Amino acid sequence: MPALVEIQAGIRDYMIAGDASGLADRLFGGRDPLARVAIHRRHYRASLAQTLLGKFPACAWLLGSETLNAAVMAFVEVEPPLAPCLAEYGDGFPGFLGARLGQRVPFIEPFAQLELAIGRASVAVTRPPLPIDALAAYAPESLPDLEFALQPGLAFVAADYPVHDLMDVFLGRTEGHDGPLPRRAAFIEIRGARGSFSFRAVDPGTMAFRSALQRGSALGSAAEEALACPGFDPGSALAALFAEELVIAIGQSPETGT
Amino acid sequence: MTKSRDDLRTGIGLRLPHLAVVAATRPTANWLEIHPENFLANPHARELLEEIADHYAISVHTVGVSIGSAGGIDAAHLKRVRALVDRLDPVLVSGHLAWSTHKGAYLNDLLPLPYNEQVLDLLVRHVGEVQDGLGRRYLVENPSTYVGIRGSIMTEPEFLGELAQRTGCGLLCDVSNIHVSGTNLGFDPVAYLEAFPAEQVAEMHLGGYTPEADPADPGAELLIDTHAAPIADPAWRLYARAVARFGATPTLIEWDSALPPFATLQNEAAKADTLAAAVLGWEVRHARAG
Repeated sequence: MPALVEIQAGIRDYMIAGDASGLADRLFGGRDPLARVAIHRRHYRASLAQTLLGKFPACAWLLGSETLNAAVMAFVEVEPPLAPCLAEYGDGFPGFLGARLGQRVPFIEPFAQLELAIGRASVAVTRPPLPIDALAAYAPESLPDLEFALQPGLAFVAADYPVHDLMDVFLGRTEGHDGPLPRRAAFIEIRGARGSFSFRAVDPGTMAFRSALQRGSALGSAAEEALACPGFDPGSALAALFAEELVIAIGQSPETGT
Repeated sequence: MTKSRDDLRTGIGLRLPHLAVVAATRPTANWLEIHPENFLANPHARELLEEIADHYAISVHTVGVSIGSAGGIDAAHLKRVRALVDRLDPVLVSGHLAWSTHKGAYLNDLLPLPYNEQVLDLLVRHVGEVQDGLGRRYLVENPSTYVGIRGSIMTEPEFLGELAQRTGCGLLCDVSNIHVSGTNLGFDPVAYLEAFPAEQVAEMHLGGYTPEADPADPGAELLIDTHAAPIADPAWRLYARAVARFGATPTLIEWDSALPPFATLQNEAAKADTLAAAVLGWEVRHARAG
């Protein structure tokens, strides 16, 4: 009698990639047990496909349903979920789309990244923001070492094409125009909470500063990173962060304080 | 086991499409069951659920804990479920006699197990880990089955009874699953029900299934546990037998896809209450939410 681990490895391989070798003599049920276990595979694949198609309707609009469906089924065969929350499934799909279709649609990967970020931001929950006065609790010389927690529904996408313009067309906010999407760098900030979302192009310094803070960089390091972008002004960037109610917590990096 | 009139009441599965309307209008429901995996990565849904939990008794029905995985319990997932359970303080916490995870891949379906001593030892260990990890008694549900794994030396009710006896877990008897599995694997659902360990039953489920042609057996029909249809007459008849055998037991109406208006689920719950009351000779009472 095979060990449970071997049985489950065989079923896993079948579920993901369709390899049924060695399964038939381990199963029973009906005249063809492999046809029965195929019901599980069908459910598995359909549930993942439904999850991905639900997350990427704009990609379906852009590529056509047939093309996206084929990409989804191909993705499902190479990348199973790694955790039981299907809402977390599909982070690798934009990259997969880029590798599969990028030659034909060069902006598909950042467009899908933008769509994924919008979906994630729109189920976030806004936290009470801190006023800029909160900085008064810290000594001026400690400011560069401060770390900021930003609103959970904040995300950034950098692209070589203005994919946010294309998303506006999908959403019916603007009319499309004929011709290919021009190649132009875009730095896109996405915000969302409780079912709503917005996105806009920001200057590269703002994106560098905010995304560095979001990754956990201290204020000084984030500003230094953003200063590589022409025109970035740390003072007004800091003021804007509070004015736009993006800061929800302040702490000091472990080296310098609590 | 003492049963009371409160145990008669039938609850409703709360799924994401109904979340906002339930939070806003607080429709009548005796209790609500949620799948924690739908809320762990959705902060907005979780916020609405926490509001709802202030007004309804909640049951937490896990679909991703995978007590049958040879590779062990996903401790990180269990920890996330624990955090939600602690916040909701549910009246019941349950999961399935099945597996869904192997070597890091989550297969998003409830896959069958062989019922033998080695698997029983494994599940005894895993149910213990789950009960310790969640800090609560866990109810284990009989699965719906299309295909079995060779190597079983005991029946499913025997296996569940041993598991309950050795771990102190409770059992969730899914009446529709008995009918589905009996039809698909050719056993007598009534005999299965009669063998089910009654003392450990703390909850029942009733869900809709969908018939489809058996591809390997022309003219024969399979039942697929879709939870996408009204509860069918054979399941209602088996439910009446289950109530007679187990007594008044909290019962859930499961409807997960092709979701109808919430009122349809309320009607199904009222039907279950009425049927159970008739079997027990009790006067039915429908509780109000809020």
